Amino acid sequence: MRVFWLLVRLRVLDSLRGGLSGVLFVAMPLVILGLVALVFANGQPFERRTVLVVAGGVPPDVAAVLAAYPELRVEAEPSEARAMGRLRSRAASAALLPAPAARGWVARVTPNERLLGAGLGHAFGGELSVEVTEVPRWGYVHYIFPGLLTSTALLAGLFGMGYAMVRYRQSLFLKKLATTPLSRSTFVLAQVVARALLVLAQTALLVGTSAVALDLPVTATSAALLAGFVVLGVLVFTGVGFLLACAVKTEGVMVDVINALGTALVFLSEMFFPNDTLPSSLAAVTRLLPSTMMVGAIRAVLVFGETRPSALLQPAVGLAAWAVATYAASLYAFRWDRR
Amino acid sequence: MEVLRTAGLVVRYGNKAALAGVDLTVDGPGVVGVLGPNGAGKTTLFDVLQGALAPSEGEAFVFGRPITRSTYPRRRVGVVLQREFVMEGMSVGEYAELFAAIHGVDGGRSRVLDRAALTGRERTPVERLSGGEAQRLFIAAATVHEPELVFLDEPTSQLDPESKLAIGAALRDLGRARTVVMTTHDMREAERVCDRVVFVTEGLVRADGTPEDLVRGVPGARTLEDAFVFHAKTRIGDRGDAL
Repeated sequence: MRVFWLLVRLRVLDSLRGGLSGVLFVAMPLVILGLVALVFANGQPFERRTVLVVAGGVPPDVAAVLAAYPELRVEAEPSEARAMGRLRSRAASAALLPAPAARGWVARVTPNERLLGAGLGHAFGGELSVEVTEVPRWGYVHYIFPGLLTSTALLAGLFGMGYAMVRYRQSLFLKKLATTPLSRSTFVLAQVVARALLVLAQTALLVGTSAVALDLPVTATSAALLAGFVVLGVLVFTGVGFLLACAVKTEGVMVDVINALGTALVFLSEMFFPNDTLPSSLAAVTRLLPSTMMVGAIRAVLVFGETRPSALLQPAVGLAAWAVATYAASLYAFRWDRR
Repeated sequence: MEVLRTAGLVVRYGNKAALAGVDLTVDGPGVVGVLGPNGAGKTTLFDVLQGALAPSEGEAFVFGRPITRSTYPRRRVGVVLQREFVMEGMSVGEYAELFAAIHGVDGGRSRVLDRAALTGRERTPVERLSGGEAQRLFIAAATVHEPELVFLDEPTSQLDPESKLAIGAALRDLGRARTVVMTTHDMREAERVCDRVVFVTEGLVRADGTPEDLVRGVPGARTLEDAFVFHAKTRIGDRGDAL
C-alpha cells in the first residue's frame, strides 16, 4: 500500500511540478470557464433570431419596424444567393426581400421558423408575405463544417510544426541536421509542405464524404477556393506553432500549451457557433484571429456560395499577413539547439 | 596536413567556463580520442569545432580557415552524435536515402547500406536494429559524402563488448584515409583505436600524445587510465562521471 501511495504522489507531482505545465493544469479550467462565461454572457448564440435584409442595406422603414424587437438580429445581406445559403445552413432564420411585383416585402423563413414569419407579417401590417423555404436536413452540419476544417488545420499546424520542432530540437535532430549542408529553410519548408499535403488530403476526405452523405454543396470553384484557404490556414498555424516552439522548450509543456490555445480558439473563432454575444471589444479582437478569418472565409465559400474576389480578398490578405508575421518572428527567434 | 586548430579557446556559460583556454592542433589522417569525465568540456569543444557554437574568447580553425557558422565546410565534415534521432518507423533504406540526398551523393543509398553491411535489410525499421547495426548505419550515413574530417561523440557507449570491438575496427579503417575525432570514456577502447589521445578535464587539455607516449611518460603507469589519473587527478566511472 505504501508503494501505491508513493506512486500516486510521484505521478501527481510529475503533473504539477513541470513549471508552465503545472500552471496550465490549475489555470486552464478557470480560463475555459472564463471563456464560456464571456462567450455566452448574453445568452446562447441562437437565442436571438437573425433576419437578413436583401435590399442593398437595411431601408430605414424596415429598420424602424424591426427595431421594436430587440430579440431579432438584423443584418444587411448583399445577395439573395448568399442569403439563401445562410438560411439553408440555419445560420439565419428569415430573409426579407422586396416583393417582385408589388409594394412590400417577402419574408422567406425555414420550416422551423413559421411562427417568426407570422410575427414578421404582423409587425409589417400586411405589407409582407411569408414563404416557407425547405432547407436541407444537414443544414446546421454545413454551418459548423468550416469550423471542423479550421480546427483540423489549426491542430495540424500547431502539432505538426510546434510540437515537432520542439521534439526535433530535444532529440538533437536539428543539431544533427545543422552539421550537414541542408539549409534550414529547406527543412522548414519541407515540414510545412508535408503538413499542408496531409491536411489537404484530410480536407478532401471530409468534403467528399460530406458532399455524398450530408448534401454539402460543393462546386469546382468552391473546392478550389477552399483548397486555397486551407493552404493559407496551414501556413498560418504552422507559423504559430513554429513561434510557440521559440518559447517552449519541452514536449510535455508544448502539448499543454497547444491544448490551451486550441481550446481558446475553438471558443473564440466562431467555429461552431456565432460569437456576437461577446462583449463588442472582445468580439472586435476575435475578428482579427486567423482562425476566425479562416472559418469565415470557408463558410462564405462553401455554405453561402461566395465567389466574389472582393469579398474573399480581405480574409486572404489577413491570413497571408499572419503567415508572414509568424514566420518572420520564428526564423528570427527560434533556437536550433537546446542550450 | 593541419585539419583543426584552436588557440586560447574559452567558452563561458554565465560565470562558468566550459572551456578555459584550449590550445590544440589536429593533423590528419588518423584517429584522435578526446577523453575526459562528464562535464569536462568535450561536448562544448565539439560544438565549437563543428561550427555550432561561437567561442567567448580565442580562435578555432578548420582546414586552415576560421570557424564560423555560416562558412563552415559542411561538405568536408561528417558528424555522428551520441544519440542519433530516427523518425518513428523509419526504415534502414529511408535513413540511408535521406542522408545520401542531404549530402547530394548519387547512388549514396546503396553505398550506405553496403558499408553498414545492411544490404537486404532496407525495409527493416531502424529501431529494430541492434545497437551495433544501428551505429554502423549512422557512421555509414555520416560518411557517405567521403568527408575529410569525422566527429563521433561516444560512438560505442551503448554497445556490447563484441559490437564495441567491431565499431572500433571500423573507426580504425575510417582513420586511415581521413581524420577521425572521437570522444570516449573507455580507456581501453582509446588505447585500441586512437593514434592520439587528448586528456581534457575542467575545460583544459591536461595531456596530449599517442597512447604509448602518454603511458610511458608517467612513472609507474601501466595503462592509459593510470596516465589519465596522473594528469587529470581524477578517475572516470563506467557512466563517464568523475570519481
